[in-house]
Amino acid sequence: MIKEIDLFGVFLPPMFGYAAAAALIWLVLRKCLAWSGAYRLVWHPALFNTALYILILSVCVTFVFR
Amino acid sequence: MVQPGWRDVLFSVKTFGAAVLALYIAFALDLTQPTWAMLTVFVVSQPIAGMVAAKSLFRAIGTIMGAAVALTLVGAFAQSAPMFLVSLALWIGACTFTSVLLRDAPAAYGAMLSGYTAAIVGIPAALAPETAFDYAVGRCIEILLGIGCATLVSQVIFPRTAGEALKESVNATLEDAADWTRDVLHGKSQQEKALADQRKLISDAISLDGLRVFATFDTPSVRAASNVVRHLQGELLSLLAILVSVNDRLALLRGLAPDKHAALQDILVRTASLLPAPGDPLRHDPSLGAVAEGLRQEAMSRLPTFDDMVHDHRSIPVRNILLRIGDLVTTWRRILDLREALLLGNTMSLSEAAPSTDRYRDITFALVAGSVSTTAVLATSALWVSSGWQQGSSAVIFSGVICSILGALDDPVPSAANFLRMTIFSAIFAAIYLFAVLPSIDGFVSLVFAFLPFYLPFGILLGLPRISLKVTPLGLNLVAFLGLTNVRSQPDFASFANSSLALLAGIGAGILMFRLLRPLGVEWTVRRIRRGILRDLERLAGPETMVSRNRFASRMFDRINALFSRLDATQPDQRALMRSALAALRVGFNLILLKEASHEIPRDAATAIARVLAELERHFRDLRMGTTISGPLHAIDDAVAILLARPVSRVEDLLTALVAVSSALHQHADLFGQVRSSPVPDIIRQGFPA
Repeated sequence: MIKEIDLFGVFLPPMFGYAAAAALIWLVLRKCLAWSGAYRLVWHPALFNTALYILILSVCVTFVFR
Repeated sequence: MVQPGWRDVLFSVKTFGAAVLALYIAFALDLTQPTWAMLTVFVVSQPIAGMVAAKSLFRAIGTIMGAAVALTLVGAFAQSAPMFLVSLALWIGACTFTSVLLRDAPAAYGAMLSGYTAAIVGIPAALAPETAFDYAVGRCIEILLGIGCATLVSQVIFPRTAGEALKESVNATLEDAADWTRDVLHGKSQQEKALADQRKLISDAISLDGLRVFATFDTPSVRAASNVVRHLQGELLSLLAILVSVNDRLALLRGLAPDKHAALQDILVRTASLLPAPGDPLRHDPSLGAVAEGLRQEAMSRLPTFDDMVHDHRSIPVRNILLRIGDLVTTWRRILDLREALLLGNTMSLSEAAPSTDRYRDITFALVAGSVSTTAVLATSALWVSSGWQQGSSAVIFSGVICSILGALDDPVPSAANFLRMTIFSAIFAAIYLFAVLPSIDGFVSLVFAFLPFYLPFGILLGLPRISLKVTPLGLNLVAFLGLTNVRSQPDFASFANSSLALLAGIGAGILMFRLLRPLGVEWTVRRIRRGILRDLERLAGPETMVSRNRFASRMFDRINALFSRLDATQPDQRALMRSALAALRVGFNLILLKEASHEIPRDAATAIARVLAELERHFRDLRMGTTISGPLHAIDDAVAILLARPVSRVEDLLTALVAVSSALHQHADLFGQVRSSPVPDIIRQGFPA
């Protein structure tokens, strides 16, 4: 399961892959939330976004290692 | 877009020359990181020689201090990485705190630098403790070398001194001051234009002190006349305060008693004729003294007496205006004398000590900035240690750097984002240099020619205000990425990508911390300045403190300048706040007057004044704390009634001050709350059409 990612000859740690995948999901989710107006209910958007990203990232990692 | 002139090109050539010189010497001495010498040249180089000297001095002090702290930390905690990283984070936080508190003083740079130098030196040193000492000494030597080259070139080759800049700035400021004075006296100061003029004048007057500090580094005659400049700045600020007062009183009088206003016209016009005509340069005119003294005497002889004031209450503002006209004439004369002394380099015999230029300091803000730095370093350290990412150390260093250098801004996120963007560009340029250009370089001369097409345009941009702040990271980080050394090594794309990524991650962590911990930005600063103004007024009204007029004025003008530079005069509510801040200055002056005069009057009148002060103190505290404000402040009405019924010594001054406070509170309800229903106290209102 743990193997380095080969990107044009440069080897990246697997964490990089999870972080990138999480970022992709996060970007999409953020757009959806912004579109639905959910941010009006959020007190501190930057904090909310950070927490959201960490949650998605940990879901990605857990999903792979399940 | 600013068009670069020949001065900027010259500056660029000078800077590039100094950088090449530093690089050459560093190569010749076989130093380990010649890059740092070159980087330092670009960091300290500024168009004005005194600024280079000041920044160099504090860069040297900051580097040596930071390196010393780094060695101490490595020595103490070489065995325990967590202890080392935590104490490093605390040190960076403390340095950011100090530098934010010092604001724009040159020493602030030293404080900031000693913080992140500890990281730049300390982290690689901690990873290889046996070479720690050489590494630290190497960085100090390389930076001193860069400073030496930059200072030498800036002082020797066509120096542009801060002394000259100071003299130019004094002349420009005085001409603007004359313009505005003329507008106020002619009653032509339309609200919006007046506010814009005031904003410019206040910021020019405040910045004189900064230029003076730099001028002491490069112009001996200014160093000798340093006291003159401080007096000049003090007088200029008093002139502004007087003008604000005259302007508001005249507006009040125009509305309430047009006949009294018309009667003052002749003296106003004659006072305005003392000033040079618009567009004329300032001249030293020996006959001015006598004319000015005559005008002052006339203003004093026309002052309404107490009987006039009791008989016709509307003459109270007239008295105020005439007094200020007398002050205005005296102050203007003194300003011209001081300017003459500065330009000719004479040392004037100045009777009193120079007015203290008190700056406002925001401890809470500095604490927040400091803790953001500490948190950023701790967070990246945790990431580095837990992930086992080798290059993670750069992320730790750069998160500290970015939080230190941008911590003083109201809203650091846009600047930090710009820093990130510029760093990405510089990584691209560095990749081009490392993998395409440098491999074909075979000597120092060709290296210089390879740098020429990048660093000459960069130098020109570096000399332009505003743009320079934006592009600085581009050039500096390129030098840092290149990491030039004497040892030729095969460029390795993987390790280059890895270290660049770490650097960008560090900057990204800094941005994240700013966004998480400081979400309020400019709005928060404005709110803090506003509370600071109220706290100053509260202290003035309070019973124990005796604050000097000059200290109060200089701190207030510093605040007002900070406020004006953040507000937009086209927004009605922000414009109102700008005007209220100026009114607060006048309220403060009147509070000082009330307090001084109340020592010389009989018991019952003094008690009435003390009640006014106590009520105002409580009122300002309530405003500051945001608690519900109470009452129409009856003590003012009562005191006026007592004074009008029973003349005491200086009763005219006391009455004028009370009316002034009352009308300021009424006019500027946005800052002072809705407490006064009319501009004048109740008993006087019969005289005024309400």
